[in-house]
Amino acid sequence: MTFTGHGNLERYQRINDVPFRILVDPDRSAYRAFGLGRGSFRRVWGTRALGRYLRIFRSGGLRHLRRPSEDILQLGGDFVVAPDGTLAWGFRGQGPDDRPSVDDLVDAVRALPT
Amino acid sequence: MTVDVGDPAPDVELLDVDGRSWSLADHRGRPVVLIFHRHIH
Repeated sequence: MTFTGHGNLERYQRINDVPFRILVDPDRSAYRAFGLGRGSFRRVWGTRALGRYLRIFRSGGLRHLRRPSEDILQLGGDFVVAPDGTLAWGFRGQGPDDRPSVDDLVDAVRALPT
Repeated sequence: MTVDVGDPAPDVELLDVDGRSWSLADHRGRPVVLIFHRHIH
């Protein structure tokens, strides 16, 4: 899910061949419904984030970066909804590099009742 | 108000990137993984 504009999405899809549906939430109503707010400027542009951009720069990945045209303070998150419609697992990021591990996400899906 | 684990998930209705409608309620009976991106450069 993203709140990005159509132009950015077209560029993203050209670069990334994703095997899942991309949902668009331009007014961020779903973000708010799942409790995802905005982070502080200091946290978003802190030393960890700058270190991440430095690694991208060193790997030559800057060609994929563009000037931000959106709310860079919006925080992301990851959620697993159980078949009965209840929230089974959730992770709300506190900054740009605060993400759950893939293993944690897969474990949350595997823990669902069958 | 924040939804917690064990609470009913918010019934969001959105469009996908191709303009097709998508509702979480339509996926009842199946697990759903939602990944909320911060932003895309």
